[in-house]
Amino acid sequence: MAAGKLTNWNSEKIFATLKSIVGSENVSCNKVDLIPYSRDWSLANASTIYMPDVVVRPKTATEIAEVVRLANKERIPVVPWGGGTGLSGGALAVKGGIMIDMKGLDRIIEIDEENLTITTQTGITVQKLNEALKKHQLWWPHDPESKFASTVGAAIACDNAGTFGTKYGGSLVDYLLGIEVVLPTGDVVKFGSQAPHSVSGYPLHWLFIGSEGTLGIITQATLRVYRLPQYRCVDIIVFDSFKSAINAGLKIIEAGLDPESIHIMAKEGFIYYTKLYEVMFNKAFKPPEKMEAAMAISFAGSKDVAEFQRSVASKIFVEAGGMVVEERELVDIFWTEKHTLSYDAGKNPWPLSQTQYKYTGIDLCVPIGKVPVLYEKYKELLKKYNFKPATGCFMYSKRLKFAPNCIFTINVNDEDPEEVERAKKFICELAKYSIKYGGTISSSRGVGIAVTQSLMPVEHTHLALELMKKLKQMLDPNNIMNPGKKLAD
Amino acid sequence: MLIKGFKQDIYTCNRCKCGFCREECPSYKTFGLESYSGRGRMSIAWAVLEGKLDFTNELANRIYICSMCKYCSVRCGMDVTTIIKALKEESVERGLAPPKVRDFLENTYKYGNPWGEPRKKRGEWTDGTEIKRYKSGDEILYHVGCVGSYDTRGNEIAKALGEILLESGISFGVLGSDEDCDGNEVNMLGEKGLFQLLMEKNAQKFKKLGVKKIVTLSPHAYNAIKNEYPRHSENFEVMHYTQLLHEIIRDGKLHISKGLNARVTYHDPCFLGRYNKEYDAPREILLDIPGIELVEMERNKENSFCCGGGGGNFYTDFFGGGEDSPNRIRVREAYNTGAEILAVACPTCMIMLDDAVKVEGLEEKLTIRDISEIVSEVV
Repeated sequence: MAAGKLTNWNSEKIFATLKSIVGSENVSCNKVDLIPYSRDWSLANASTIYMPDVVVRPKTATEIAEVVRLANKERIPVVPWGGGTGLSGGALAVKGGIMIDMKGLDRIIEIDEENLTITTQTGITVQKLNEALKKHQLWWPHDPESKFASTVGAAIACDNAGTFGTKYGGSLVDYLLGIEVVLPTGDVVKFGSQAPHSVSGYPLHWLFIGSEGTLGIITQATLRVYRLPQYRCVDIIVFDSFKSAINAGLKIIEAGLDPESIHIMAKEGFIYYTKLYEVMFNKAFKPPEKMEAAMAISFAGSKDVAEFQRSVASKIFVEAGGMVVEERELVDIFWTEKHTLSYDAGKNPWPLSQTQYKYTGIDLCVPIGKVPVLYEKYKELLKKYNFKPATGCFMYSKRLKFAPNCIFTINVNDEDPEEVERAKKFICELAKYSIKYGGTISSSRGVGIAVTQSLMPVEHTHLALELMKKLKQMLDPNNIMNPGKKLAD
Repeated sequence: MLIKGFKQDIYTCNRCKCGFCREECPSYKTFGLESYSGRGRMSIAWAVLEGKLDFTNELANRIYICSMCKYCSVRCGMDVTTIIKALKEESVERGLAPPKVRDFLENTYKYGNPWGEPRKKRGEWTDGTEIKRYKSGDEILYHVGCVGSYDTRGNEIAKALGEILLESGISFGVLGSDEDCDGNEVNMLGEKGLFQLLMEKNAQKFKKLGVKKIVTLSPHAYNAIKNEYPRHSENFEVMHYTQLLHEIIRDGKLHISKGLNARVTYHDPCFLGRYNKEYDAPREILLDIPGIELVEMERNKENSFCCGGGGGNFYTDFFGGGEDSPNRIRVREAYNTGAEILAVACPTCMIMLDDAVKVEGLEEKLTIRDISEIVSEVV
């Protein structure tokens, strides 16, 4: 049976119970408090909102369990909310119900320096976690661009991507050792352990990676962390095609080098940084006659090792037809923008700052050899649907070495419903090509309520989808947990 | 300006929703729901413009809890704080300012201070000192402000600075009972009519007295006079007192004769730091004193964490005084540096942090001292 809206139920009694669970100051059904939870970063018409009926801000798994138990009993939808920066609407209350703001669970439980693991509540932001780890000379190399606002729980539930996937992973599969989850029935279960590897049971902690809040609420996580690198060097190399940039990246890996990050961007994305360089330093970057892509690559570790790798890599890049950017300020601007997120974009009246257009796109992943052909399709579809490329296409490693997480971007006038619909068609068509080339419709942002949800039966077989639905039903018999997302209802 | 004048910025935030302004927002840290953050308030403004939300008392409450610390504006690039001020202005126009805000404004209108204290008491703090009334020809008009004039702890700071100025030999004076509120908080509370009135009144007074240079005790007053009085300011310059002290120490006009062996951390006041980008003068003064070891808190300068006293909150006290109130968070952060002294350069920060250190039970371990008090001890 599908869960209903809270307004269909005895709402006064339910509000009172919620207040008794989390404290009256942590519950609100006032519209002024609900509005900020009604939208996220995902593509939608400028006026679209999804209002929850009530927002609660618990501080413990026990409180969450009580809220979920109540919701399950009363068949009320429950939606976990982390940083609210989602690009697929995964944390929006499309069917109303109880919005659980997870950021009250922001405590780090243990930092185990000897064993290089940490256990933390999941409402802490990625940035705050790393600020705390830095005091111990540690870091969690998962580094999404939303890190100032997005939470550890959301990183797991969406399996979003980070910069340093080339060396450390970038999928939560590479970091997650154990979790505590509040199941849709209100039971609190722990999966996994601190062990770096285990085959003693089914690895159910990984089941919750990318689950988008549809299977339960992740309240605690044990993660693999690393020592902070002593030294880092970054270069940008420009290439005449996306394909030659990818091939150069592959040669780096084949040569036995161990880059920390590889980020390949189409010229539209790179031009953003060259423009900043012009503004900040009053100098012009002169690109080669034919430039279609730029690769930013970093090596880290001890200075000797990092610099040695860098020198070997430079030779490979030149042999592969690349041109190493010598303007160090330009390289620094890229790195600063990308990693400290000083966000000058918001200070500049360029389209990228979203002052005029909605920045949107799709996160696809195809086998590495298929990236160039998908990139060509992207360019074709831009013309077909009459869109500008925003930051073009960029890609980095989702999982170790060279698993391409490709983001294809467009600028959309979200105040024009026709244009929003056209954007959705563009996204769907490109996603279909991804499936055709053996890829997927989402590699880091999740499906949520994105238009690509309709392509789930194209990417997955009927039996596979049925099994996923049965699994969901087994864990969430009343379909209260983030209904309408991922698999739809 | 009404919020519709900021439509483009409000819609830009609503498209992006990056939320980078949220985690260090003082009111968000205290209350926890998104509606108490910069991004949340931008959502509220957007919903009002979209006709999805009406101006209500609850809405005004979420807006007025903002201490106007400007962190969101620094983080974002768009001037979120100014948009929040516009929301306050609309709340005032619609008669929705919370009762405590109304009291603040009414008292300031009637008595020239938010507490409704008699005007004649404004200069009483100078009794028993050699601090004189300002007279034409004095080099400096020392503008004390409401907190320095009426609050007991504020009085001590006001006196300390007065004594330093006496020691320096600079000719200066105060306006005593003729001083009026500079209006910074009135402006931050969105009462632009009253602010305009105060501004005109003060500017005319300064002009009539032939004032050439104003030195303020409070960064709040400094901000208002420097940035909001510009069309009146052709005839006088304004400095925060730390800028003056830094200058006269550097020029040898004020001699530091003693040392102070202490580990000190410095709290940047929002209206000196983020609003006016003065981060160096207070630190330079502290570093000029032999024996002081200056240590920084994790959040400093542009990223400093507000004490929660801005936007009139030192009076309205919308933060309460719970464990997560900004002044208590800040005091704990200062204590964690291992400092014995938390130095401030603002009477509002002083009273906020002084309260917090007591509630936190850290009085024996961490002393809150204004830079004026520290300097008065070593000259």
